[in-house]
Amino acid sequence: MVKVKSPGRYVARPEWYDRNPGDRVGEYLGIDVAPATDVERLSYTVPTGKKAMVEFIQATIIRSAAATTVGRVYAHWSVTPSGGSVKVIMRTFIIGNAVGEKSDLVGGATITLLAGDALRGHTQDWSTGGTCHFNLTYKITEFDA
Amino acid sequence: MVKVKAKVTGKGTPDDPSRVNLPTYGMVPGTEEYADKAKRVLKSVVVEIPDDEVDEKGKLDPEKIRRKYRDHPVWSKFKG
Repeated sequence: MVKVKSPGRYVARPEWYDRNPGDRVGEYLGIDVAPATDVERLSYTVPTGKKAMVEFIQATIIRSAAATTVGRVYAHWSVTPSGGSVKVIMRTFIIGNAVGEKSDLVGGATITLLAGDALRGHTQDWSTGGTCHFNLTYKITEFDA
Repeated sequence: MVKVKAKVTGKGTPDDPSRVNLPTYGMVPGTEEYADKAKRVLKSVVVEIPDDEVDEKGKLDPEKIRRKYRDHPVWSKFKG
């Protein structure tokens, strides 16, 4: 004799990508940007009641005009946990002065951010004179926690 | 996304970067205004912010930000 049990009242919870998902995409494309100190170009903070899967981040620097005095040029991504301190998770830089000097980093990531956590994209150019192109991009899927 | 002009804060150092006092934004390239261009001190910039953080006139709505990030230690007390 085979006993057939009722499936009961419990149902499997949908996967994260099926829990009221929403795309969040940010881009900073600075062309011929003059030297500047540390500037937070992009910021994304996870709303209350949500989580976020960071699926893609990118940081690119291309020197577009030679500097009078070259300094390091950075582009980086940081994560600040809610109420915590900032941590850089991806950094790229160039130190050459030739036009076309380039650095590019792409993260195909599965970084989960919790409510209140922040992802931030920065640029820095410590040269005197000259210009650089900067590209910072993220793609996030935000979903119910 | 909605574009608003925002004040830039911070000293431009790694510990205190130049930034806009908003939880979610993207600076629009080429819209920077400088308080002192020689010292690279930014004064203001146009930023794009989410549609659900502005009122029906397209202006920043601090109450909507406080509600959206209501458990956050900083943004839950946001005053605009």
